[in-house]
Amino acid sequence: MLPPGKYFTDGNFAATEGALYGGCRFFAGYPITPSSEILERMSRRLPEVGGHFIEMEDEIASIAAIIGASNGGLKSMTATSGPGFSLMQENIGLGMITETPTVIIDEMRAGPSTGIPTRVGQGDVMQTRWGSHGDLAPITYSPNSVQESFDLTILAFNSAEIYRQPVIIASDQVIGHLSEILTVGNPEEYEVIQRLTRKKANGNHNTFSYSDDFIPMFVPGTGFRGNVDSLTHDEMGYPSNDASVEREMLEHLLGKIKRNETKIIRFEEYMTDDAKVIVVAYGITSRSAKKAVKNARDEGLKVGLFRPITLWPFPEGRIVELAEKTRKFIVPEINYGQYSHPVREFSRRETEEIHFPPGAIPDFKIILREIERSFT
Amino acid sequence: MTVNIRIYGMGGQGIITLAKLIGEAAVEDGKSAIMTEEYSPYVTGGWSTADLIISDHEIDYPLIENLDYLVTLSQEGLEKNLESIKMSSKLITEKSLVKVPDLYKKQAFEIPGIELAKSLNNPKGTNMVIMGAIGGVTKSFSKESGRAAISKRFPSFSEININCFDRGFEEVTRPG
Repeated sequence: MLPPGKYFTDGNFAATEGALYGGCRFFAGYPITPSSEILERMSRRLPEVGGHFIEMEDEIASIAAIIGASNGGLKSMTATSGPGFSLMQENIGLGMITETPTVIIDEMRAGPSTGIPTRVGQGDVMQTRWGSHGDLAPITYSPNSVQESFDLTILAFNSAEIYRQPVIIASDQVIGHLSEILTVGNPEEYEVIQRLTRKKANGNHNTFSYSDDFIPMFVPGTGFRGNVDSLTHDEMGYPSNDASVEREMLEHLLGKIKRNETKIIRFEEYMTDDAKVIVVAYGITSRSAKKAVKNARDEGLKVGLFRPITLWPFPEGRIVELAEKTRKFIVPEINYGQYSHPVREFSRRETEEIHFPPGAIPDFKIILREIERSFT
Repeated sequence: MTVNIRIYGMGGQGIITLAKLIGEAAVEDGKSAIMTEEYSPYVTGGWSTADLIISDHEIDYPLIENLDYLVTLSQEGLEKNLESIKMSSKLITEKSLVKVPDLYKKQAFEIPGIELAKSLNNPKGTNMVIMGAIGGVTKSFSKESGRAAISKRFPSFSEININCFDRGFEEVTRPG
């Protein structure tokens, strides 16, 4: 593992090392800017720690391979950007329905389609929530620094194990390529959730459980005979046409996240205590927003910053609380309005969107101007 | 104190490597550093640029607001950034690739990096000469930390690169 210490390094390096810390031992991927450095580093680092690396023929194969590897017993991940993330959507659903822990890093760049490979965007935010068909309850983290690229990747691996589903890290081109200080502590400072598996049936033959939020996985070939299927299935894993089985399965898949939301949701607040206007910003945009809020405070304006660290599940409870004493929300994003929608829906307050066209780090002055306008 | 440096060049000249080494050296000196990079998405020969902020304080916002130093290894780098150059800004250029207009001559350090690297038998070491010059002009990192960052990055070629770095440093700091 990366020795404790201070490093001047980039987000891709930090995410790779964080993944290894979190127990990742299998990576399958297809190179794509701006995430390619993760794949490159993994190809060198995984064999050093006894893991496995495969460069796949495309992103559909990549996600299929990491879901397979996880069912084979190893913690797995892939890293991609918008075009590859689009290709992965169907199999994200496969990971959800088969309750397979795995981690997907999506480094957002300017889109749609192949867009501008080397320039930043935040246009995949809704895709991480609704991209795969059917009802899903995804967990999506949004790092805003090199440090968080390390810390949240460890956390993503833990969440994947606890909730047994694919976990998405929605990073962006700037965070991936930004170099700043990464502080790595001693290994004992990091909690790493180990994979729990069932080797013997112990009278309990079911592959899944719809009455427990968590049931350990089984590893094929180690004495447990089980079924894993992409069709709607019962607790034995057998496919079913029955609508009541669909309901039972879906209520388990969605419920295990809903019931544990308070444990999953993370956010950071800056000067929100007496704020009349709150800026909601995530990823690289949150750093421009923080500077705008600081400057506005210097001008005496009562404004705060709410930064969701988990984009999904949506921090509904806290937004509702904040809305009680706030008259307006401002949501700057490097897209034409995505996260502003749930903010407006749940806050039921005036919600101003700031659209930064993909391609550059948001200029804090534009956010500051919008804050000032809210007080005139 | 906060120092803002923009380094500009062509893909293959080692711009990003150079900027990362400066950041590493500054962090080694106990400072904060942040670096953003941009490059054209194509091939060797496209443009490449890195923005570095080095400060005694923590840095949140990664964009340069006031350009203190423009380092450029291509004519395009000078022309693209003319608007950001203030009276107080300093220029560091590769002499054989950048023609500095008379207006800016007084604030420019024109470094014959390619020639110096060649004379030290390390033609690939131009970026190391420039790194030395940046260290000497900006004083944003110490000579020792600069050398240490180079040794760490190029363990097998540490000496020839450090020679280039030292020569660049000397070029801008020698009296007269």
